[in-house]
Amino acid sequence: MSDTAEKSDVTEIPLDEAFQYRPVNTVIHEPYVIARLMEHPARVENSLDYEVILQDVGTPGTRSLAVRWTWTDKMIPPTPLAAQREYITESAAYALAFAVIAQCTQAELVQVAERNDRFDYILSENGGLCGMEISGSLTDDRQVLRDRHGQKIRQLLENPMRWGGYVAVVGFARREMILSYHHAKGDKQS
Amino acid sequence: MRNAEETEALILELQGQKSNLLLEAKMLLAMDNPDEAVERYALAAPMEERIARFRTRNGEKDLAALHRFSAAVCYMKSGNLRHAVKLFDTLGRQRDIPGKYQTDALLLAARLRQQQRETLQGFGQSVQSVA
Repeated sequence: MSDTAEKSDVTEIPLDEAFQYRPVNTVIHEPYVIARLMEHPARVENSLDYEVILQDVGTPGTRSLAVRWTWTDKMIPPTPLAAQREYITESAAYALAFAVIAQCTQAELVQVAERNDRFDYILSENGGLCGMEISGSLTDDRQVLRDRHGQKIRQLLENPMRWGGYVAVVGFARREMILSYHHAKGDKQS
Repeated sequence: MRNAEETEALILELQGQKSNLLLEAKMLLAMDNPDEAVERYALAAPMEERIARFRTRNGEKDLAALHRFSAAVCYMKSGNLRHAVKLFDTLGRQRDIPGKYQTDALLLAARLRQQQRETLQGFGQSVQSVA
């Protein structure tokens, strides 16, 4: 996490209020994100600070948001989660991305559909539909995260429906998230 | 008849239900519980088909393709290869849907047919070894 975030302007996001039950239940990701956040050595009791970099989200340009994730004791999984490590990382990334999307946009996850090797996550925003690509990583390497972000942008823009949408990449070791919005290929605004 | 009763509100409700089944299936697979995951896919598959039919009737061809493709993948993952191939074939023949669905459907249909042939041959060998 960089030192650019002003500590006095920290946006607190309580994770116990960040997820939705309908139309799609994102609460399913809750135990995984808590498990992943609790592993970080910078955790202070039930909270952890992150830098969230917003690119073209709501307004054009890039801005940085200092976020403090908080959670309650009740949310802490009582036993180690019996799931693959990659799944925990992916699920935790989805949880944090949904939390920031709920905080910073009007978009709402309305459904997921199978695409064989992956899901199409479909959001509704301002009466239209858009896509979403999310990735989580345990790497501490900033460039690896930037590269992953670029790869996910390409993946989003190659979706069969030719939708624009959001891309989020979460670096758990760095305590950093990039959330960006991209117009569809051929869109006049792109 | 179900078709006459379909409304956008009902279909949106169904979209939420099948989405949750798909997310649960993925979680169950990650937790090394494929049997339960198969059950979720089997439940989600006909829901996706029903949504696809509704979108087709509404003239929303791209959305119909998205759901038909998802239905085919769910049938495939729940072991109903015959129905999956049928849906992939339908998508592969369509010329007015996003091209990626069409090409992916053709590839998956071919792969599943190969898998079906190998499975049948495997059954034949099993019967011979028992005899």
